[in-house]
This record gives sequence, C-alpha cells and structure tokens, in this order.
Amino acid sequence: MKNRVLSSYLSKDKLGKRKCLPMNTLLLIYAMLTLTFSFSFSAGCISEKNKIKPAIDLLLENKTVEEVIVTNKKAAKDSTPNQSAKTIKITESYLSQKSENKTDGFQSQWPMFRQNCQRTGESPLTFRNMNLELQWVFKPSEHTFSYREGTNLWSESAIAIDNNGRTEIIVGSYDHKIYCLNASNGNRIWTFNSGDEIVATPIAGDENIVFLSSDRSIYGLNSSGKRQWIKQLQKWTHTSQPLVASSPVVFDNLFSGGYYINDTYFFDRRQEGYAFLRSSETNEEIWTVLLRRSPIYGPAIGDFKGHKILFFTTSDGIVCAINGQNGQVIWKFTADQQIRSTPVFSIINDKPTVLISARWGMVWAINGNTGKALWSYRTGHMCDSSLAIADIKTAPHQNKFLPDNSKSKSEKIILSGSYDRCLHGIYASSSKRAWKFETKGVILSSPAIAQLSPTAEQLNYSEKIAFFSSMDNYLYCVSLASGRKLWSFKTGALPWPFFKRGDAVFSSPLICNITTQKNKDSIQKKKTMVIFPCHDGKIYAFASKHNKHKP
Amino acid sequence: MGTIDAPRIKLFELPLIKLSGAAIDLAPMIMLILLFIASILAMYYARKIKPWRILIQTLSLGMFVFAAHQTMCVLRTWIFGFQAVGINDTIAFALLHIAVILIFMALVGGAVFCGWICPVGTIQDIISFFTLKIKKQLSTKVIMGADVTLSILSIVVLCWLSLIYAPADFFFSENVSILFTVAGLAGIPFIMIAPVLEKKLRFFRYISLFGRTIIILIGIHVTNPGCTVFETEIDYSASISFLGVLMTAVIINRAYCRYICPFGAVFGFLAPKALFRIQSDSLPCRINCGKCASKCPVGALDKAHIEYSQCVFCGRCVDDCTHKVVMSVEK
Amino acid sequence: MLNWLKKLIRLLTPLIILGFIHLIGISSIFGPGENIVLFFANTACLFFAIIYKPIFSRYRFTLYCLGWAFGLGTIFLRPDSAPVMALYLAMYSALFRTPRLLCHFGTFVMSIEMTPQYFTQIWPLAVILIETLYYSLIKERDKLSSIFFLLGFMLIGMILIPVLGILFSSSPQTLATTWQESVVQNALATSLLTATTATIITLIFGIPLAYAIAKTKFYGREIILTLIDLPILVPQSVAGIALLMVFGPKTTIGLNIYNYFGLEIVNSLFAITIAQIFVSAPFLLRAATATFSESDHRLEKVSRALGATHSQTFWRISLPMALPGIYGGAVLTWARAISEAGTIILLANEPFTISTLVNFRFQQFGTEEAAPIASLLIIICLFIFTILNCGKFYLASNDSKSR
Repeated sequence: MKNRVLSSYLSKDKLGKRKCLPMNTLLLIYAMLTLTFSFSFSAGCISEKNKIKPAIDLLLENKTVEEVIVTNKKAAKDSTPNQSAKTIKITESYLSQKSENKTDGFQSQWPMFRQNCQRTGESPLTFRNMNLELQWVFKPSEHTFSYREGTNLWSESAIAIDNNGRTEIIVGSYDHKIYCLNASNGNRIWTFNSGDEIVATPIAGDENIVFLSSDRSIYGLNSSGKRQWIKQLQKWTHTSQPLVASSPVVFDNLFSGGYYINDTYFFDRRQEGYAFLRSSETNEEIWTVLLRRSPIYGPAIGDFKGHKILFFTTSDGIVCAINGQNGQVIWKFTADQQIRSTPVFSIINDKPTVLISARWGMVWAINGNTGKALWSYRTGHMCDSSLAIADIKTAPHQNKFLPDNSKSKSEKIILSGSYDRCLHGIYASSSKRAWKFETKGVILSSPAIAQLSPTAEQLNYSEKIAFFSSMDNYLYCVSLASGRKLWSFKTGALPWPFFKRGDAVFSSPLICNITTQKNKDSIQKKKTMVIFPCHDGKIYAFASKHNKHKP
Repeated sequence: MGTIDAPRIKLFELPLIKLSGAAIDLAPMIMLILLFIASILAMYYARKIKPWRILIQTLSLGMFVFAAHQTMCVLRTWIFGFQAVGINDTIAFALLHIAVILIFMALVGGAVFCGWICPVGTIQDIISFFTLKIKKQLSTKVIMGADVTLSILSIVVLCWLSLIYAPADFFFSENVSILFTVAGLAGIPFIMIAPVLEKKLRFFRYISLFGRTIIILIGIHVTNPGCTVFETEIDYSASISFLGVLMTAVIINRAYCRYICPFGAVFGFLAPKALFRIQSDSLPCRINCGKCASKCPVGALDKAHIEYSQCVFCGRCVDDCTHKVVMSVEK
Repeated sequence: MLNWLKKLIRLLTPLIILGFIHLIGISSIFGPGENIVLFFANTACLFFAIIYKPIFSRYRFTLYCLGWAFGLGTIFLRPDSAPVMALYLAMYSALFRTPRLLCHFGTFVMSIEMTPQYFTQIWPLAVILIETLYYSLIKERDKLSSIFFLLGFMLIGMILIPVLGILFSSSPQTLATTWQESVVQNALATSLLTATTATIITLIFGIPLAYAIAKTKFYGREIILTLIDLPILVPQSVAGIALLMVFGPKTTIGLNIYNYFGLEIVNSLFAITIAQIFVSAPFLLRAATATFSESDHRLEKVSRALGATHSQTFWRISLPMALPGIYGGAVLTWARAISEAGTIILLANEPFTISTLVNFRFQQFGTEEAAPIASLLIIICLFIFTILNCGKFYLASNDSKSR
C-alpha cells in the first residue's frame, strides 16, 4: 500500500481515521487572507495617491502619428489666441525654414552623437584616398586608473564644431573633465571640470555647448569653456547613484534627451527615467516627462510634415514615440529584450521606420507611424551599440557591388556591431544580410559613415565607407556596399585587463573637416579627418595623405 | 565560426505576457511552474512513472528549445540580479525570477528540475538510452577500453576546438566554461581505472560552483553548456563544452550532472532539506537485489540507501521496486 | 468518485478564492503581469500554509501567517518594486521550515534592500552572528555563551567592518591595474623582503636570548622582561626619532659608516629592516620566553641525566618542543614587521614599502587612489597569513602526535 502524503495532511483524528480539511483550518486561512488583503489594499491606496505614474504606463492604446498630427492641427485651429508663449515658440521654430535646413539633411560638422537628429551616423564629407595617416594623438595627463562598473574612458562620442574658422573637438572623459581640442593639431584649448564622469556626448547649439554629467546636472558652456548655466536634476544624498544619461540631440537651439535618476534609499526609492526638451541658450524647460522606471536612451527625431516626433527607447525594452510639442506619448512597442542603444530613424521603402538593436542581438524595424514591427534580423550575440544607416545608391554607378539589379532608387544598408565579433551589413528594404565583417574582438562602437572620393582607387565612383573600432585593438574602415576591409590601424589595449560584458559601450568615431592654409596668401584647403576616441585612453586623428601624383 | 548564421527557431520572439509592458516575458516562468507542478503530481499519483516522465521531459525540452527566448542562465543572472536590486527593479526581477523558482523547486521537491525538466539532462538521458543498448551486446573489456579512449579523446578534442575557435584577447575570461568542464571531465579516465575515486570526484561540483561564483563576482563572462540549448546567443565556449558533455554522456550517464554542474551543486546542497523525497516503505531493505542501484542514472543508490544530494528524482528506482514509497514529507 | 471530487473541491477552494481576489481586487492596482507574479507568490504561501498547519504549533503557524501579511503589506506600500518583493515572499514561505536558512535569507534581503552600499560588510557579519547564535543557543543550549556572543559582537564588528569595507571597495579591474604598476610591485617586494629579513634576524638572535632568560634566574630578570616589551609601548613616531638619533647622518655611527663604506643608512633597506626589528622583536621574545618557561623541564632533566650536554639538550629536546610557540611568535613578528609604517616613514621614506606608499598616495591624492593599494596589501597579507597559520596547526598536530 502506498501512502499518499496529502491524505495525511487532511488531518487524522485520534483513531487514525482520515477527515477532510477541517473547517477551522479553512476559516483561519480565509480570515488571514481577507485581513492581509484588506489591510494592504487600504495602505496601498493611501500611498498611491501622491505618486505620478510614468507616461508609458498611462498609455492604454497606441495611436498613430498621423492621427495625433491631425487632432493637433484641429486643436491649434480651434484654440483661442491666448496660447502659452512656449507653444507658439515651438510651432514657429518647427515650421521655420531655418530649422529645416539646420536639422534635417547633412551637416558639414558633427554637432551631436551620430551626427544628425535621425541618428544615422552619416557625414557628407569625402576622403581623398584610403591612405590614412595619423595626424595626432591626444592623451590626458597620467592618472592612476580607477574603474567602477560602467566606466567609459571617453563619452559615447565627441563632437566637432566650427569656431571662427577653427574646428574644435569637444569630448567628455572619465576623469570628470570636458576637453576642447584643436582638430588640426590635437592641442588642448580649454578644459572644464564637472563633478563626475561624463558619459553622454555633449551637443553644440548655436552658441552654447551643453552636456549631461553623471553628477546629476546639466551644464551649459559657451564656446570658450565658461559656464553659462547649470541645472541640477537631483540633489546629492548618500544613497543617490550617478545619473545615467544618454546623448541628447540638438535642433534649432532646443536639445532633447533622456536621463535616469536613481536613489537607493529604502524608504524613498526613486527610479525615474525622464525625457526632456529644453533650450540650450536659456536653459528654459519646454517639457519634462516621466517616461518609465528605467534608463531612457535616445531620442531619434523623425519629421512628419513639419512635426517633430521623438523616438525614445527604455532599458527594459520599450520603444515609444513622443510628440515633440508637448511630450505626449503616441505609441509604444515592446521589443523582445532589453535595449541599451539609441534608436535610428530613416525612411525605408517610403515608410518612416525606427530601427533599434536589442540586447541579445535582434535588430528590429518598427513602423514610425503606427508602432508595429516591420521586420527583425538576428545577429549572433549582444548588440549594445547604435546602428548606422546610409544609402548606397546615391551614385548610380555603385550598382556594381549589389547582387541584384534592383530597380528601386535607393537601397540602404544598416550596420550593426555585435558581441559575436562581426559587423553586420543588412539590406534595409529586404532585411537580408548583405555581408558580415569578422574581427577578432567584440564590436562596441557605432560606425561613422563617410564617402571616398572616386579618383583615389582608379575607379569612377564614389564609395561610402564606414569607420569603427573593435575590441581586438584595431580601428577598421570597410566599404559599405561590399563589406571589404579598406584600412586598419592598431591601437593600444584597454588599461584594465577585462571588462564585464554589457558594462560599458566604448566610444565611436566622428568625421569632420579642418581648414588648412600654408601661408597667408595661399588658398584655404579643407581636409577631412576621422577622429577616434579609443578605448586605450587616447584620441587618434587620421586624414588622407595628400596625393602628389594625380592620375 | 563567423560564417554561422544565428538560427531563428523560436516560435515567438516578442514577449507573450509582458511584465508591466516591459520586454520581460512571464510565459517561460509560468511554463516552468506548470511543468514543476505536473512532475510533482506525476511522481505522486502515477502508477508507472516512466511514461509521464518521458512526456514531461519532451514537453520541457520543446519549451526550452522553441519557446523560451530569454536567457535562463541561472548563476550569472542571479548574481547580476542582486546587484541590480536597488538600481533598476524591473531588470532585477527579470534576472532573478528563474533562479528563485529553481530554488523554490529545490526546497519543495529536491532535484526535480534535474530529473524532469532540465534539457541537458533530457539529452543525456536520450544518449545513454541508446548507448546502454549497444553496451549490452559488448563485453566488459571492450567497453572499458572504449570508455577510456573516448574520455581521453573527448578532452583532447575539447582543447583543440577551444584553441582554434574560441581564442579571444581575454582567453581566460571567455572560456571559463570549457575550463571547468575539461577539469571535471579529466577525472573520468581515472574513474575508469579506479572506481573508488568516483565519490571523490563528486566533490568537484562544489568547487565548480564556488569557482564560478567568484569569477562572476569579479566580472568575467561565464556561461555553461546548457546555454546552447535554451539561450539565444551563440557563445563559443558554451557550445564547445556542450559538445564535451555529449561525448562524456556516452561513457557515464549524466556525467555532467554528477561532477560538474553548478546548479546540481546548489540542488545537492538544498535537496536533503527538501519537503518531498523518495523514501522506502521498509528501511533498511532486506532483499538487497540491487535492481534500483543499477537503474539509477546518477549513482545515488547504495544498497537501497538514497543519497539525497545526488538524487535527481527521476523515479526509475520506484518503478522497478515494489517496496518504495514515492514521497513522504520530512517533518 | 464523489468523495474524491469533494476532497478536491475542498482543497481547491482557497485557491479559487485567491484567484478571484487577484482577478477583481488586485488588478485595479497592478497590471496583468505583476498580478500573475503576485498570484504565484500567494499560491506558494497558501500551499505552504496548508502543509504547515498540521505540523506546526499554533504559535508558529500564526507567526508564519503574520510574516505573510507583512510581506503583502510591503508589496502594497511599495508597488513599484512589487515583483521583486513577491519573489522574496515566495522564498520566505519555502524557507520557513528551516529557521537557520530563513534567518540567513532574511539578513541577506535586509542588507541588500536597506543598505546596498554596505552589503559586503554587513551580511558576512550577520552570517557569523547567526551561525554562532545557532550553535550556542540551539545546538548546545548555552544561553550564557549566546549572550556573550551578542555582547562581544561589537568587537568583531569593529575589526571586520573596516577590513571588509576596504577589501571590497575597489573593483577587481582597478586591483589588477594597481597590481601591474611597477611602483606597487617594487614596494611589495621591498615589504616582503625586509619583513622576512627582520624576522630571520630576530629569530637568530632572539631564540637564544629567550632560552637564556627562561632558564636562568638572575637578579634583574623581571626588569629585563619589562624592558623587552618597551617597543610595544613606545609610539611609532617616537621610535622613529629615537632610531634617527642613533643611525642618522649626523650621528657617530651613521657618519662613520658613510665615511668608511660610502653607505647611507637612512633611506635604505637596511634602515627599514632595523626599524622593523625594533618594533617586532618583543613579540617573538615574549612568545619564545613564555614557551621555554612553560615547556616540560622534566624531559630536559632526563636528557641531562642520560648524559647529553647542554647544547645537545637544547638542539634535540628544548627547541623541537618549543617550536609551535616560537612559530606562532615568528608569524606575529612577521605580521608586525610588514604592518609597520610610522617608524619607517621617519627613518626611510624612500625605498617605498607598501605601508609608506599608501601613506604617500593618500597625502597626494586622497582615499580614492590609496584604497586599491591598501586592499591589495590586505588580500596578500590575508593569503600569506592563512598559509602560515595552517603551518602552525600542522606543527601543533605533529607535536601532539609525537607525544
């Protein structure tokens, strides 16, 4: 006879006969349950009243962007002339010609992380040839290296600005400083000390340079490094953690980004991810929205008939679209995994698309209008760096490298670096793999795309090239259409022997040009440079060697 | 290995049941809990345990391979989860929930996960089913010779593969899994020669657990062979050590579970304190036919006395013996 | 059949009621995902409640239910981190049978939630406290010992909290880069070399002295024993100045050696060794004298009676018997020598030892730069100390075997 244990719990009386669960046990259990639930429920309701719910949680139903634009237009028409000054200002600046030229399309320098508001990472500058030589190396002063989790040596990328004809590179560093370097020779022009590491790339407005520092503040500096304004986001307490900020975008003196405030104090725990829109000149806050209780990355800006829609990603895997005028959430999409990279906006197959790379290696393409997934592509391993996208059909004679004679006018290639040690090139229209470039180390930087001049390689087309760095201590340049290696350079190793996976994302390159002039009377020449803040603690700058013998 | 494309065999890639809208899927957790309840009930009420076990093992293998699209790697996510508790509670939950469920399972039923749910265990059982059939037809000397050569061969192949395919700048950091697997399996040729050492090699599980914990705390990336089966990342060291696990399953059934698996160490530590256990009606066994000891896949039985830190709760001993009670509760 | 059904329904009713509460009541606060997690946590607690009811006494069962209610209360008071709290609740219910594991888990959760910055300092202490209380209170039922443990815990905490704090303050990557610096490696080598030399010299000169003092009963014996302990009493800076006045460049000894050999004593390895001998010799002398006095004199007398000379007795009988005690004293001497900082800073700041390097870095850059070197030294010293102490146990066991 096998004993069944559960029957022994249906308690036995003194004679060993089995009874059912006695009523007093059940009553006791029910009483306990009701007591606890009612007590907890009431306590919870009382404490819930004072808290703001995150905006993403409050969004019950996804709307499409076009609906929202239509309703806003109607509301604008119907509204009284007593609109708040802020809304008028934004509407004007959105629709003004000045903003159209400045923010969309290419710019000659690199004013923010990934070069433009759509975060494509593409620069219109051209390199003369692939014979790059090292122009200068910058290393900050000797410092005993102290590593804490999430330390990046440089900020996510550097920016290049034009200051009275001189190109300057502005980069944040782990030793709490912002460096401004002369792009022609790498000399330090000025430094600015902040309170903690600077992880998010600065942005350059018309007159001010703005950056978020991990010491929980936003700083606005002028072009010579003097502090113009400071905004403290969270007070220091003994339990507050460093700010987790993502690189902002700038358009027409308004900058927008996301940051995450974290306080581990048990009785007042704060885990708040905010998205904001502020003015870079006057530090005026247009809107700040509590999006989610997770770090916020982004934004990428998509232009829908003059309306700016901002796309943010959160660390727990949500992509959302926010109306640029008032900070309302329009739609949200949940990816399959956490996301730690900035999204990219692009028009693919005539559809507005948002591209993201999720943590365990999926690249998702989402319809920018409705928020539904279009396609996904799987790389082999984690993707922590941002994507880059560029059109390879801008010059018709590049069809040589494309496998099919596609009739479409544009074919874009998406670049995704991954922990499987490869850089993937993906066709945007078909989501198939174009090529895969293998290195010996994981790729943590986002590629920068430039053009290669046709005369160099003795072929008559202008090729698009991508620069990136890999953790096997090499800097690479590959052709965007074919994926073959054009150039590589060996750098030093990480200053510490290993890094924890998923810990930090190392810096990405940028492309700018400098004006050189031999003497006062000769012509001013422009030279294109690629600048790599590298994971060995130095900044490398390369430019093409001048071709003395032209064909 | 760069030309291998990442396979997309998962049935669904977007989360089925989201936790407050985040990318954290609760479906694998629910499936695990249901499988656990099903296995406990099957152990309890079924007359013949074997068909139920095969059914639940197949279901769980299918679930892990085709349905679970998040990382289920326990030790690493457990430690990272505790580090994330005050900093980001959603991510902390995503990392901790599988570990808590596994420990809950261990406290309730002992190593039920090992015997009924773990996909690596299922694969090893399938392999040993076929090798046992082959071994029945060969003589002992042939078997022993083949075992020794195969074990040495497997270690050599592992080392060779890892040197070719998994070099990295941080060689040690990416190949910890292979190192532990090879170290544990290096003892197998010695066991073939001197079976007395078998009990001593079982202690290696705890060394593996301790070593892995220290290495994860330092921050070096560690995977385990099971990651190949249920994770969505292509990791060289996990795949190569999985190959090693398969090769040694031919020699000794569940060699990985017995000597190397760190989760096995955790279960082995908690199982003697579990709520349910397999116990005999009449202790000590007077018949001593030895049938149960020959059937046990992990060698937990010695003269009808069960060693609970090794027992995987598969129920083979219950099926063959008429005197064993399925479960009783330790009070 | 009907009986079975009735039993099943009776069993499942609490579950169904719980399901209803979750479906209707809880879903107004939480979303569906969190609701499911809470439901599973509550089901686990319910399952264990059904199992515990017949086993436990009424008092213990009420305690369990109160703990369950408290867990639910915390969940509702902090709804943002509800899923993690639900996990804690499920673990609580499973662990309630084994109070020891429950206490460990409880302190773990408290230290992670309340004081995450001091987690590596508080939780090991809590583990030690719980283990000692468990063994003294429950296994051996010795209430006095447990009260004394609680009182003396302050002392253990005083010692362990700073050590654990600095041990875990730097990340392993920082420690690795510090280890690779040549300055640090040289300082480590200097420390180890000088400490070992100091210990050896003290052993060579100290053991005979200890034997002689222990054996001979002369007039000023007590005074000499007190004077030997003097360096422990003297502050480190005072000792440094005293040694400077003997060996400094403007004194007779220093000047002569400089003139004849061209060596400057101050700021050299020799000075470091001298300073270390000065401060650490008392430990060896105390230990050795005590061991020699307390060892069994009858064995020595027997060996003398059997015809051995004094020196033969010493080498063959007295010294081996006293070896465990002398070894312990030598380990203490070595430890004291390595940890000497104050005297060495005054006497020989230049060939950096680890202790002076930490001080130098601290003066220049602050705690952040000095901490990695300090934790590196603590790790290395702990390592060597453990090895040396194992040697002591080995010697002691050998000694008892031979007897």
